[in-house]
Amino acid sequence: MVKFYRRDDGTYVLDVRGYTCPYPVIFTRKALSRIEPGGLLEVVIDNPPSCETVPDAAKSEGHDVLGVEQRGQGVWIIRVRKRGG
Amino acid sequence: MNWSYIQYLLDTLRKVVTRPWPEWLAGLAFGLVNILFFVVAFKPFTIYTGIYVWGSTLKDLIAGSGLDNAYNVFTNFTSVSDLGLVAGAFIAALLAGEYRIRSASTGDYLHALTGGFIMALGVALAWGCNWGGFLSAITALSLHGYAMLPGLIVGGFLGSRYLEWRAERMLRAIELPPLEEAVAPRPPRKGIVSVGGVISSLIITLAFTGGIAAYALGGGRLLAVYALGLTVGFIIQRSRFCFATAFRDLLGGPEMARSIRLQVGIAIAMAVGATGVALLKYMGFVDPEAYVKYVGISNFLGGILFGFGMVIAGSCASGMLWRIGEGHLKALAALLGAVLTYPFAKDYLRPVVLEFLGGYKVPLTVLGGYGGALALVYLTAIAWATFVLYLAYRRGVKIYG
Repeated sequence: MVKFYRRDDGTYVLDVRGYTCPYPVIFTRKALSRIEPGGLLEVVIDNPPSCETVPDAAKSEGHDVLGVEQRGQGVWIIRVRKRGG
Repeated sequence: MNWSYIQYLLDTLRKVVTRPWPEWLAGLAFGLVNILFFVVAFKPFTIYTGIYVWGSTLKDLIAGSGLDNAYNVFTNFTSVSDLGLVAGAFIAALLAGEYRIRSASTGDYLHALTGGFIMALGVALAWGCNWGGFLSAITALSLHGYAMLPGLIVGGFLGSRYLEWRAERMLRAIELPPLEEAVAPRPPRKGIVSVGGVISSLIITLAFTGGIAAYALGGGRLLAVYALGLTVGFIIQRSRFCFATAFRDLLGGPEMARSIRLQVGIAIAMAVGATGVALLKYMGFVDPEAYVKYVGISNFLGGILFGFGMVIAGSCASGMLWRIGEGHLKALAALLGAVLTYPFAKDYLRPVVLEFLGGYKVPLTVLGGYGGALALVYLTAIAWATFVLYLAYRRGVKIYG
């Protein structure tokens, strides 16, 4: 099941490991719409194509993609700052 | 030898295999593969005959009725190239650091299984998946490829609406922002993951053994077929050439830009492939009737079923084989659905549907020989690329960033 929560440091985490296209993009969009402007979202994915499609989707909506970082074999973290704020 | 130059070469190579490849390049390669496949196997590159062989083998094993089909697993052209595809995708994923055994939720496994079942019905009706029923059909100059396309568009769209609805429901169930403790990760179900992991690893091992067995049983020709499958697998993994995405988000969806890039790749594959195949057929190297299948309303209906099924399953035919190589257990569920269904769908459903709905074998050459056929395919490819780019333009989607 997809996990979405706020860490103690205020960063939101969206864990969509186990989901393939297009779920990571849909969940990222919906998660971004639910956090405050300027908020930081970390998307955890394990579906390779999502390394490109999730940042593309976030950029196309005007959000700031801070980076895609590999965390071990086949897992990535994408950091996005919501526009505004 | 200059050691630092070797370092430089290796570094460059590493970058090439770890970065995603463009879809248009993959399309070009798939067009060429389709021509080469005709040269070595006298048929285009397809997937589902392999699924038929695998399903029949499973059926035989359960019924205890001989090993004829098990022999076919390593000698049937399509089965061998399917095994090559899994192996090629595995190599590509491993080199790029993307291989991993990935589990999914129970709901996702059920969707994949159902999607595999629906896809198999679609293939029975459309005389192939999006390779054999559409792309490879057009490159083989058979009209049935055209009839599946509108069905794929409709099915893909219906699938995308369903997925959007499902995602909405799943996210709504999550309260925001809960305390971290409240959403402490549920312990993974070790049982499913390890059983799936073992099966997945066995299939990947089988995929590699397949190359050796194919060479032992069929010599150089079968090895070439395997190598072509391997090439497709490698390219498909690197370019993320996913037909499910191509048709799911064509009319606007979460990954529309990629969908349009994929469709342009498909148009290129069509034009390149048809050029070579027309030449082979014209020169008499291949039977002019080769891979000309029945066309009728059933291809359109099959396209709807297949399009919907692949979106629900999360991958089409080549997509599920590539993702098995990548370690997705969900793709294994889709394969299971397809393998259990297709032998019955092909043997029992297809003849009945053909009887009721009818169909004709129409080669594209009926419109003015090979020149006419090629002109038609080129026009189709240009028109299709222009049309999908218009869809992107109308929605303000920049397909190359």
